[in-house]
Amino acid sequence: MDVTARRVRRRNAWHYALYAWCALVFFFLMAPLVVVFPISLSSSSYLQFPPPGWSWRWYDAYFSDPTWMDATWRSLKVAACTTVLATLLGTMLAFSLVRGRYPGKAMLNQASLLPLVVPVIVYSIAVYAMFGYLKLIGMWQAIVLGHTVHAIPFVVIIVGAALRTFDVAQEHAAMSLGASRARAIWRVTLPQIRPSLVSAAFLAFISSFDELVVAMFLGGSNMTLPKKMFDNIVNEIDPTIAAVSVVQIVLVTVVLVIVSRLGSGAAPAK
Amino acid sequence: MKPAASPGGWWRRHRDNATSLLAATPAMLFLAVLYFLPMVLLFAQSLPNGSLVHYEKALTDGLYVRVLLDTLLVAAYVTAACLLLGYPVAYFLARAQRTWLAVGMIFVLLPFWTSVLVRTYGWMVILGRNGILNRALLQAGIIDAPLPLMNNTAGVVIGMAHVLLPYMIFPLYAVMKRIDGGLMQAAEGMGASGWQVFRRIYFPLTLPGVLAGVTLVYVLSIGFFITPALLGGGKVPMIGVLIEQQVHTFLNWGFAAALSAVLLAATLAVYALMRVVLRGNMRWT
Amino acid sequence: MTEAPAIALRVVGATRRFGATIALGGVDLEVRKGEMLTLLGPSGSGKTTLLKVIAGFEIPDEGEVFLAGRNVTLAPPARRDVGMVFQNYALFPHMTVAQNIAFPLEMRKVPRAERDRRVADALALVDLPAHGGRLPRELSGGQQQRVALARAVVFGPSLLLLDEPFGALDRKLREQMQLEVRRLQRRLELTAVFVTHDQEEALILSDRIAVMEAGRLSQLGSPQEIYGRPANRFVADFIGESNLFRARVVADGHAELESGLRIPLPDGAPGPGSDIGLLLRPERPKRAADGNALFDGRVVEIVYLGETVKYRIEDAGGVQLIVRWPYAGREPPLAHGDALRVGWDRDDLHWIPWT
Repeated sequence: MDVTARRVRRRNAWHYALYAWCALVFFFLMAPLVVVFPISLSSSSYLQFPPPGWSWRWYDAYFSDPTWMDATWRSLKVAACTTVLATLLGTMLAFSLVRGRYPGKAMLNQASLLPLVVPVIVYSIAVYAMFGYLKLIGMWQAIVLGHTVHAIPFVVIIVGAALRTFDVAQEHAAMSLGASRARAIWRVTLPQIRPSLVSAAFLAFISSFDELVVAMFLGGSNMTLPKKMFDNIVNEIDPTIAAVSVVQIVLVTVVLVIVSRLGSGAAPAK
Repeated sequence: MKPAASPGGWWRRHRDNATSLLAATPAMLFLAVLYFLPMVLLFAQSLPNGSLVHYEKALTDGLYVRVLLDTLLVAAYVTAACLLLGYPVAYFLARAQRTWLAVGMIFVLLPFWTSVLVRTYGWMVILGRNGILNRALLQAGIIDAPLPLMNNTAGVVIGMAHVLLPYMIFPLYAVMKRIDGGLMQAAEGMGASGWQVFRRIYFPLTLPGVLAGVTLVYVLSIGFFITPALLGGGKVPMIGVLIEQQVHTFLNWGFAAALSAVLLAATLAVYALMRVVLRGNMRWT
Repeated sequence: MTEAPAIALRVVGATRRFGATIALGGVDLEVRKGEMLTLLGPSGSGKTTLLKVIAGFEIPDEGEVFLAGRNVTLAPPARRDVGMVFQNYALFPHMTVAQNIAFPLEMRKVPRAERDRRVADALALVDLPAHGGRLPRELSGGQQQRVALARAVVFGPSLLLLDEPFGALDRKLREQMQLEVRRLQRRLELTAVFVTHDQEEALILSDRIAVMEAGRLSQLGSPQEIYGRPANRFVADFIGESNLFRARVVADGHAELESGLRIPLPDGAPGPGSDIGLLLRPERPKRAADGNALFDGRVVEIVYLGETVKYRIEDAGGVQLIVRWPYAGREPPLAHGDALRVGWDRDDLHWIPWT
């Protein structure tokens, strides 16, 4: 009995240690996010902590500055187009990889995941070279292309996983009832994998909106939001960047809540 | 009289597979033109007239060899930090019930979904000479002079560990979730102490997750650009930063291409190594 | 003079290979209008492949399929006018019951008003009049099965296919559904092809049974024919329980077992010297008076099945015979070791070639 009591006490000690460690790590994870909030409301132009006073001026600076708004708008445009393009191409590819049987499919499967493996910096300079030669630098459409290539693997993984667990018999039933395969997919399969489609689209959007490296190389002087933020940080101009960060965090949280309402959770299916 | 083999049958039977192949074509073409082509062209640039001069420079010049080794070293620090921080958290999440699980997941997912730039900026605010951490420590009297936590390896490791921690937690969580709690109880019933249960049973069972997480974090670390660039202040040259420099500042395309090839080779080598270790059983979820 | 029955479905020489495996090895089949034909066989017998060929989910390598006279061998499932009930119901979970049933009518562009009417009729037909607004997951297994049935018949197909639809149901529910399907099929005068591996189900439901083995049709006939006069050992083994003895025909209308036991043969048996199998269903033998016992042995095993009791009797030569008799419970059953003599009519015996 004594051994058990000792065991129980020791186990409780370990449990407390675990909880304490987790609390520490959670604190570590949230710290930088939390920190930008007070900085964004600081009245000082310098990075002072604690802030000497409170002010909305940096939010003002962000929303009223045409270059910031321009960059934001460009990022939204690029992300939206990337989402549409990647979801479309990626979903079709997912269907093909999960349902089809043709020579070279396994290789295609690996190939479609390659953008996840290769470091972004390597790809960025490669596509920078190619687009530079084609005089496409500075065009937001070029960034869309670069981002789509990186979003496709996410879509393939997520939608592919959903298709694999989907009961094909339902499609067959629809076909036996008079639907063509396309119609069966449209009326029966897609509505049911909608949560995964939404997750994939969300992932594609975020991956594009937040992306810096490709955008940095391909955007030239027509910057996306991350690029402008990067320049801002490097040149240590003022805490407007903090205000932008807060807006981003809030935006992501809101979209995350919406998406989790619309369907499956947002944990990546890696 | 046996009916002839249906000639139209071949097409009808393979029509579905042909349509599948067709469905893959747009994405395939897209990737071919916008991914593989630029990469191939880049690597072509690394071999001007077939000469290996750039590779020689990258792999023998002391300066660049140092950068390569530093990159591998920093990546190792980051990976170790992530493993240390992430393993207990993954364990906690794997055993947590609904509300705690949701709360824990938010703590992990929210930073994960936040832009790397925002997070790195937050760290700059915290780690700088006049940053929050130093100020707090100075005021509390714990230190006399501000700790150099930025523009050096320490800052870079902290920043990168923060970004890559979820990539360690998720594979670990996935594997831990699948472990049957009954095994641990059975072991205890047989007289094993808590430590023995962990060392002999639990940890080995989590090994696939550990390897997956370690590989993922390590590979992502060696290719990192943003965080080392910002938190390193030019003093922590990792290969990603170096490549960008060669292109933007020195316009040294051939050399940049060679460095990229070396980086890619290192990345693929680590993946291949893990594949071998896990005996081709690369399950991430 | 009776006119030839109308043929709803004709399969000619259907062959389908998967690599080295022959799933269907040249099957010929004719299904009459209004009849319920069961494809019966173990896994791998080809029954499911044949069903898929009929439905259009498989294209045969050789052979043809004719539905109501039309060659549909290459036609996609949507254009075959066939209703199908799947193993796991395959109801669309994101649509209500009514929407599920309306689906085939939608595909055929039936106008809204008529669609609603026919859906209501179908629901009434399967006795679920108030369930139109529910979702499939809110229904029990048996109810889901009935919705699947309604969905498959609502558009008036010329053929109904059922792919082992009752596998997931418990025994009582299964028996209920079997009778319901039969009733429905008769009422609507639908031609139906039913696939199952359960021989009892086949005997209950069918007008005719097609027993399949390794991609070939082993025997085609009414349940009585299949049960009472199996054409070969496979069918004899597969359907019902039976006694099967290997014997050689000797002179004077008898056959002799290896043990020396001699059994009188029915008319039409082959001549002396032939190797045959003798089939005797366990319910056929009767207790014999001392004089005319054809089998004399002792009880070595008793199985009590509630309404019947089964005895395994062994004779002096080591030959075992199984008899099964109704048990009313008025007297205790026989005990281990009791003597039991049985006899049977010559015509109760059925001979098959021994292969």
